[in-house]
Amino acid sequence: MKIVACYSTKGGVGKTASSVNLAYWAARSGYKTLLIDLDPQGASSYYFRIKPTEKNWGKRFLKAYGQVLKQIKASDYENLDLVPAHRSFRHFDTLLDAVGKRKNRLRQVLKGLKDEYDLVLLDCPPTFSRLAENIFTAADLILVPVIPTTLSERSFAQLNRFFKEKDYHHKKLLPFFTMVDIRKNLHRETALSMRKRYKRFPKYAIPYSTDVEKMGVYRAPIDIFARRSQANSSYRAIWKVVETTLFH
Amino acid sequence: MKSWKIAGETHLATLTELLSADFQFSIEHSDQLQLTVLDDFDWHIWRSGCLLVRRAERQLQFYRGRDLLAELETSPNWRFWWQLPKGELVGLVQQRLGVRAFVPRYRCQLVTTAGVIRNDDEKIVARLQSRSFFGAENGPVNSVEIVPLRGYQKDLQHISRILGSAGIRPATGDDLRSLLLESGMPVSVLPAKPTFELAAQELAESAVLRMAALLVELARQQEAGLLADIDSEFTHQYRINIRKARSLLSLFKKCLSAERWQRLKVALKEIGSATNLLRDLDVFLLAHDDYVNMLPEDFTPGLKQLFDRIKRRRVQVLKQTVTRISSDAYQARTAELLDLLRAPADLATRQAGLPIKPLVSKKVLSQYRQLCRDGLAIDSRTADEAVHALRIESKKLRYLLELFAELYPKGQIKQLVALLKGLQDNLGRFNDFSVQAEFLREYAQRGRLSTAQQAGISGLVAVLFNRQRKERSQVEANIATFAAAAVAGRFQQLFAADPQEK
Repeated sequence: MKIVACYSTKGGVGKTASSVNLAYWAARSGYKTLLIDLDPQGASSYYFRIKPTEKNWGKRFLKAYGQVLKQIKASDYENLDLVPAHRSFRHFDTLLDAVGKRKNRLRQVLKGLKDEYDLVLLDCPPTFSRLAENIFTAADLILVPVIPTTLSERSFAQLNRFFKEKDYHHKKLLPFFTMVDIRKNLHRETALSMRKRYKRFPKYAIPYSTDVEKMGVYRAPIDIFARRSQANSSYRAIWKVVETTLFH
Repeated sequence: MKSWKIAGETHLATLTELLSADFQFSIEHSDQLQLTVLDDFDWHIWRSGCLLVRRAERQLQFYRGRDLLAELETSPNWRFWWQLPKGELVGLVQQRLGVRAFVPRYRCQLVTTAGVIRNDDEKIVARLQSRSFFGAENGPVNSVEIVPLRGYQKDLQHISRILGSAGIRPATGDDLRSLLLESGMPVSVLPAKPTFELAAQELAESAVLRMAALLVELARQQEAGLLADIDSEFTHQYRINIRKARSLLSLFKKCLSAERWQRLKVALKEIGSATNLLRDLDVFLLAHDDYVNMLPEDFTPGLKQLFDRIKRRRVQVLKQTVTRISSDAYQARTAELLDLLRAPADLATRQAGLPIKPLVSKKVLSQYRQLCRDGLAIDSRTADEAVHALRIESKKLRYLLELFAELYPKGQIKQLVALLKGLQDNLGRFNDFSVQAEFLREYAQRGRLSTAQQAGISGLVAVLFNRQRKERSQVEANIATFAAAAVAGRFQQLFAADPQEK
């Protein structure tokens, strides 16, 4: 079982859209996939029409994987399950403090899922906190959606610095461009300079597309309602990169 | 997962209506096909707890309970296990049917529908599978299975409650077998051995006549299958029942008036002999694999010619047999025979008025003693005719035991028959080998056979002769076992006159 996080300190960069579509393609490729919605706003749960659970189970999340198993819900798609978010996930840092100072707490909990799943995908909240450090330790791969703008470039540089300072394995980071508007000079230039600086960017990028926005209307992965769209094939291509990195 | 049975032609509309307050039901796809249940005349596959079905004239499926054990593309012409392509199904069918043919026993239309149940967020909470069986007579039998998605068990409970309050209760054990039965599949399994509902005190003549009449009726039940040439077992069973009737009447001929016995004897002999030649040919053809393996490979082409010839001969003989059996004269003869068996007892002899059970016991003991006496007189120099006569005596004893088993404590007769079996099988094989050799010799004399065919026959006759000698050499030992004090004691114990019954 591989653990993949979709992570960025910046909000609104397409984390949830990416988590939903990549999890969908993983499942379509035959991997038993579990998407865990760690973002208390619960957007990926919403996209899959799965209601967040009523019960406040956040404090039990880090106790044992059995608690996570109880919350699993099947999506409408084969091989794809989801753990919906809960408001109490806002207090993950406090919860982590309660179970001790170790950074591998999340990894330990998720390890219990290895008999059932080939892939666990974490849709992460935009945070630089104890939870983030647990995510960095747990994940085999950290997908970082980056809009090619100055602010995004800055926050990705910060993340890289943080990895260096804290001595995390920086090869875990797999950045990719999202919401790219090819008509904008700024997007083209920033993308170019970032590709020069960070060699790990795959050649595929997710274009700016209304189809991504329509996910909220259709409450489904893009493939379901706009199979032929550019955004759909880009997500599929990014999934192929992730698959090659993890499984080949 | 939960299952329900919902009655009516529009069960899915009913379901949609019932769920509409809290859920939406939608059909994803639906399919209709013809389902044909295949089995032999005696439902052997069904009786073993299994099911052989042909779906849409394309797939052949073998189920044990709910488990699908084998599945393959089928040809509608397959009727015997040896026609099936190599694989698991061959063994499954062979084990249950032997030489019997599997033929369509029941047909129905099966409509399968798959659908999903969504909640008010339009999220799928459960998947639904519906199967509707449209039999020939009854309305459809609908089985609906609902499988909740992971994490949506509560919705299934809710659905359960909705259906429950509409009076629809969950069903259990809806395997294909029970659904087919409910749709009107008529499974009429005749008991392997007939019961005659004998009373110990019943007068011997009427008991014997009644039993013989039932045996003739059982034989007649095989006629349709024989005429349609479904498999060789129909002829075989037909003959066995006629032979049992003959044997029974001959054992108790002293209970019958001389005139009735004469007429019965003639009629049964005539009816029995109508299928002699057909059966001889069947026995030969059924032994095909055995015969091919008996001889070196260079005989194979000759044997193939011979088998082809005998197959052609069988086509003619079948035609003649069918004409004969379906003729008015033959049908009248059987009807006459049944009338004769059903006519009231004459009570013309002393034994006719005796109670049946003590008479049977006496008969068994004397038959056993005679068999032992004749058997023990056989040594290596005795003529084969005496061995053949012994086979007939042993068969009479076997029929006697089996036909009247119901008069004795359960299981007792079975044990005695098992003791007799070693000897009887030995004598049976001895006879079969000589009958087959005789059949081939006669066939060879008909002329117009190629040298290769002649060689094949000579080879087979030689091997059959050797086999027959081998069986012959075992007869003495088998007799000795059967005549031993321990076996004699058991016969004595069960059949020696009970003072109360005297």
